[in-house]
Amino acid sequence: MNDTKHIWRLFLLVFFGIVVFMVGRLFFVPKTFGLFGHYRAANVLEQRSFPVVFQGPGSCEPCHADEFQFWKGSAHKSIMCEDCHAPYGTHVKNDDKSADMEINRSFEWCMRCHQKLTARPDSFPQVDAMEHLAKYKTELGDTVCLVCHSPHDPTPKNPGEVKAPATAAKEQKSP
Amino acid sequence: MKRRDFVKTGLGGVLTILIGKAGIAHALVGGDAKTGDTYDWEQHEYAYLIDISKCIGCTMCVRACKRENNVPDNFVRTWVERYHVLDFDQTIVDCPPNGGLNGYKPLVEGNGASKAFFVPKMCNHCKKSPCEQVCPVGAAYHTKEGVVLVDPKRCIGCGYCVQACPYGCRFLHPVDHVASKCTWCYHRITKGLKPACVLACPRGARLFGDLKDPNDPVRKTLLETPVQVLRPDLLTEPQCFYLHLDKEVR
Repeated sequence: MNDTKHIWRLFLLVFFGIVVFMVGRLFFVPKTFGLFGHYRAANVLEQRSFPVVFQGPGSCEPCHADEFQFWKGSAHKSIMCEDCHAPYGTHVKNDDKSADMEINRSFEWCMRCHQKLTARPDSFPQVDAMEHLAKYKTELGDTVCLVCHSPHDPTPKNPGEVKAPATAAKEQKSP
Repeated sequence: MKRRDFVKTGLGGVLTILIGKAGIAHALVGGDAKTGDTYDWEQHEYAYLIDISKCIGCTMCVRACKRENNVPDNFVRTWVERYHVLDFDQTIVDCPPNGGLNGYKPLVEGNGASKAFFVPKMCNHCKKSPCEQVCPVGAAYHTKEGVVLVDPKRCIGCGYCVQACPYGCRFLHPVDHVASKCTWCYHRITKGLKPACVLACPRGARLFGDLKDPNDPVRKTLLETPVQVLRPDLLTEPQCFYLHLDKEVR
């Protein structure tokens, strides 16, 4: 039976190869790879664990209830607080105020939505700034929109009545 | 090492792997006792709906996405394009490299447009995604809810998927050197929240829904209203649907 010896050698070699492959696999293939498909299942949980940045308007209500109600009844109710301000986490840490909230009163900021653009749907309120300001005899300034419009409730209460810019800015600061 | 120790270590290793696997499988169907998280990925199938006629191009979505997902400068996971159709075969497509992050200014030559509109774009989370098919290491994959994700630990940054995506939704992260893209804010939707772009949209032009929820408004719209997808000719079966999409949009 000496003539079968080489077969056994070959068999052992193949067996050894398989063992090396299996052991190598244990080290090189991530543990949860292939559990549900051709990917690492543990990554699904990793992706889920990222921190949530935007907390939504509801998170502002506990501290700013008055302002919240004011905004909720306005034409700007569809814009969440964190759009014009900043994400919750920049202002609150461990349920306590950690820093001042960003407030953007600039003309450019209002124009981002309300500048008259051909591509904007006609039903959306847009202004040609120069025309609009000329109509109310006001000059262009950095916070000029706030003279008549409060960002939290933009509909002017007394249309036609134009407040002096200084008074309006003061009112904006202490709502 | 004695033989007994060797066997012990070996068996222990195998057991840890098996338990680890079972633990993750259990956690994914909402049985994670440690965190009390009951979210079951088999109970959801997500879809995205964009209404072009409502979009005002304020690009709050682009800004919110950047902040939510810490997207690096000069790259975007979602962006807004502007189209001015002047005449047949004469369309001005405005697609700034920063995705319109800082809003749009008036376009002088666009004043004579017969129609003009904004088109928000993002990863379509295609059912038959080309990006997933070309990935050589299994880094691009589908979750059971239909979300296409990238595993940054598996990704080798070869960029095949970036080239394969016909919608241009992927990019190579300049710091991590791995592929990156919209995840539909997977960390938010699995907690029952809306993606940041949907939350940020002041016009309700972006909607996100669950097709497995019988009362979902997006599911209802998709069933009852004619909707479109981008590049249907490619048969990628996008899961971002569009209302009032124009033929000029590619």
